[in-house]
Amino acid sequence: MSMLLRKLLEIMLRRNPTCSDEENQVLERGDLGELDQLPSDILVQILRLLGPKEVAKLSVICRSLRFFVSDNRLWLHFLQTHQSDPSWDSVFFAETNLTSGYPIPSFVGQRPQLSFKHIYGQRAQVPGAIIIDGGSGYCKFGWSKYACPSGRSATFLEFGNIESPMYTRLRHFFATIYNRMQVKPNNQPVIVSIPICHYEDTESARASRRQLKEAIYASLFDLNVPSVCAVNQATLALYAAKRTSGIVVNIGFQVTSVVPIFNGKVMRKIGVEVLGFGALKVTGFLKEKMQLNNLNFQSLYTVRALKENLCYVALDYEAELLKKNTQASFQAAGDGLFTLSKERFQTAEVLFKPHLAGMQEMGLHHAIALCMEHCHCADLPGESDWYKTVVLSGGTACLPGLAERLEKELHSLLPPFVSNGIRVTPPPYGVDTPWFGAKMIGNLSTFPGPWCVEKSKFRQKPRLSLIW
Amino acid sequence: MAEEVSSQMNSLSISETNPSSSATISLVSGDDIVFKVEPTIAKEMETVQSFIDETDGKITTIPLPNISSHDLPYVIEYCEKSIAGKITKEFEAEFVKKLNNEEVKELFLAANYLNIKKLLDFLSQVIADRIANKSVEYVRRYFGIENDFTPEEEAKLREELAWTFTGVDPDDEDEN
Repeated sequence: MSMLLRKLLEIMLRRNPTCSDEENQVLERGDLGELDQLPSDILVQILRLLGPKEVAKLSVICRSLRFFVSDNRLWLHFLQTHQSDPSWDSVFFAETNLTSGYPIPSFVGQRPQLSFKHIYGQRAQVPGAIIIDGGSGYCKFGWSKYACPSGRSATFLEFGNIESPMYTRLRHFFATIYNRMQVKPNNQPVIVSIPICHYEDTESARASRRQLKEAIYASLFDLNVPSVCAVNQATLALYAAKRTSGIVVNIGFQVTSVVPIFNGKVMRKIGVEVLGFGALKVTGFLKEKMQLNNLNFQSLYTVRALKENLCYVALDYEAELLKKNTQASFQAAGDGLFTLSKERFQTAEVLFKPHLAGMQEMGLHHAIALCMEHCHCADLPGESDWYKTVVLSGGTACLPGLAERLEKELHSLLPPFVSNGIRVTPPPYGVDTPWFGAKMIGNLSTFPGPWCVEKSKFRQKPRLSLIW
Repeated sequence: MAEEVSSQMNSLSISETNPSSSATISLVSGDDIVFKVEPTIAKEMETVQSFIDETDGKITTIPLPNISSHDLPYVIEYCEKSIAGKITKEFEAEFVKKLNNEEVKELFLAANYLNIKKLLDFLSQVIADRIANKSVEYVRRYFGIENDFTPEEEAKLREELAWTFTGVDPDDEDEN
């Protein structure tokens, strides 16, 4: 018995003590047939073994059993064991914060109590969505119910700049992706990421953003997609990190953006910092270094692979330079074995010292510090420390040591009242981080409802009051 | 505290040296049939063991009014295998094949009463397997539960839960 109790205790930890009394009362009322002879913990054990679908079905047996099988802890268990993709924490975050769509409601005081049974049922029935995250370098696509993106393609090389509102190019881009996924566009809703561009808080930038969104919606609806959910890429990365407010640092293909986001809204009034270098520049810098050191390679892909596999960010650059042994090797496919030494950490140092590559830009840490100061001065209502969460995104942001180094630099740049409590998080899902943010939306119990614009609505109101 | 420890030591030494501890235990079923079992078997049954412990091993005849002479041998068989470490998937499959639905439920209640963790876990799985993918009517009959929903309420519930009503097996009437 003690074992059973212990088992039950695992799930009871989070329970409300009054709940068990109610439960026992119901059982004592004695209309559960032979089940009345069983203690409720043993009945719960059988229910757990039965699994969510069977247990939900038992609701139809009789009133008492319906009450018994609606137990929140039981369904919490089922959510954790059957639907915790990509992780239980992220499901819980999404169901608590994202169910009502955009804008995200800001909770004052108590959050509404979740019914896990209801959530489970809804999540089991959502159609899922096709997710297309068109990163500036690489596009990741796949179905929201898959564990990870099912394919990638080199966006820029193949389609050119998809950040310009060119209808034909976007349409070609989306049509190609649907083709590769071998799905019909008219079957499911789609979640697309809106690239981080036209970031200024000016009339003309606003017009450009609107044009781009309009072109994205129009090209998707023309492919007969039933409904479209378009969310800023930085916001998606933030959701993937289980946050609705914070600063997202996206190291893109050609530019790096520092994006303050409050309650899911990009705070353009506070200001998005943009640096004119990104992944391409970092790779290019390594290429130059290798050429200087007479390391011969056949393609830029080799250099990129070396960057991804050997490079890291030094916590203390000067100290790292003095280290004797920083060598490591990597076998590049079709291009032989390469051994790098100081290049391993010199490469990414360009993010902090752009002048190393001859660029007149401020370093990444300066840009983030500047953004934090702006956030601090903006003095938004509610949480005062919201901007102290920094989430990294983008392939190059996955370099080991980057988060730690940024944290250290920010502490030395900022006064304590701003820097206390800063946490820099590496991309939670690596290069696919925004895709996973979209996946969390696509599998929500309320999806597509509050998140999507339907084709008919878009057609009725072309003046975009629906698009934000 | 010190007292507790010494009494524990005491009981340990008794179980090691007391000759009666190696004597067989008599389990008396609800219909007054006596089953003689080894003390190790009794150890598997938490309820029985605590009864023995409470009387310091002096009483070795234990009445089990809730368990019939039909079910008790099954329980003993399972415990014997469990001690011998011979519980395999094959044994369990054979074991459960012999039992009809009524017997599974009775054994389950017996295991619950005797507090035999392994048997309880095993039978929970058996019950789960036997009602999985079955119709609502089947489960009601299985547990003897009366439907207290109005037809309208039930129809509405079924509609809400439509996603769960896929792949339901047809009821076989010859169960039990």
